[in-house]
Amino acid sequence: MDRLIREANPPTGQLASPVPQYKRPGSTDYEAVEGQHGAPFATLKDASGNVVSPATEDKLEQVRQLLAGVATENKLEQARTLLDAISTKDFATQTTLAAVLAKLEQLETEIQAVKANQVSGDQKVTLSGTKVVESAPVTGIKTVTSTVAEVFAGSSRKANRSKLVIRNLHQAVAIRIGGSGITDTIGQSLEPGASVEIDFSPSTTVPIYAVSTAGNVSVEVLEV
Amino acid sequence: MTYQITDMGNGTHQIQVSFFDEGVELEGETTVKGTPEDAERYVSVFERDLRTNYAYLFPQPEPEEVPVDEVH
Repeated sequence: MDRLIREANPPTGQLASPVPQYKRPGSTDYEAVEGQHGAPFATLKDASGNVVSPATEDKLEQVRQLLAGVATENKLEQARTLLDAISTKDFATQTTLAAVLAKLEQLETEIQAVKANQVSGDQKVTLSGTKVVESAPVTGIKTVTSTVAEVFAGSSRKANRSKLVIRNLHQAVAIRIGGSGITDTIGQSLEPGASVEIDFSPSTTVPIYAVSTAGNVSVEVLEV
Repeated sequence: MTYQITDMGNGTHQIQVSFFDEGVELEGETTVKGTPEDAERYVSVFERDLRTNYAYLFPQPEPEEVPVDEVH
């Protein structure tokens, strides 16, 4: 049977009044309520009946620090502006990105092949354009003798020449052409009636010598 | 015609010829491999080629007048 706890020493002439008390769960007993600062102590429980541990000062400080990192309204506004700006962009889908990646890998393979060709010297190129004659060509007849002598069309080697054409006018005797080291047995042979074309870099001076293999031989010379 | 032969070293000689003494503004220059004697011999060949290739610079010889009584 329940029985309230009453004050043990009521004022004279008065009945003992119940003291602030609470009923203990699962029991018929009551216990006096204790408190502080004008309020009874209380235990917080969650919906499942578990006691909720109140925040300590340390935890409150942690919360304060976390809240300090929360974006302000200004920062949120900036973020909203940025989101508005990118919301109209046409971002690639994963499929598109995969296609681009595949294309890049293909290009990489091709570039590696081109690089390999360049290093190995197997690169095939097609040159187009026209060789331009920048000054009047010079023609002349020269006599090639048994003395190794420079061959050219005019009175001296044409400056900045890009081509030298020599035609052996003799019907039976060959000549030899080349550098100053040629002899009547060493050098490029130019048979009777044959001609040869030699291309030059106009910026480089390269003398061409000729020598007869037997007697004097007239040659027709063109310099461009 | 005047000429000058210069030893360029390595057995090469430079031949420079001038026809200024004949009143012709023509100069020529070539190089030959060999001895100075080889260069000396080649001068006449070089000179002849220049006279042939630049014949238009040189005065042409006057044609000989044939006596009338020799014309048949």
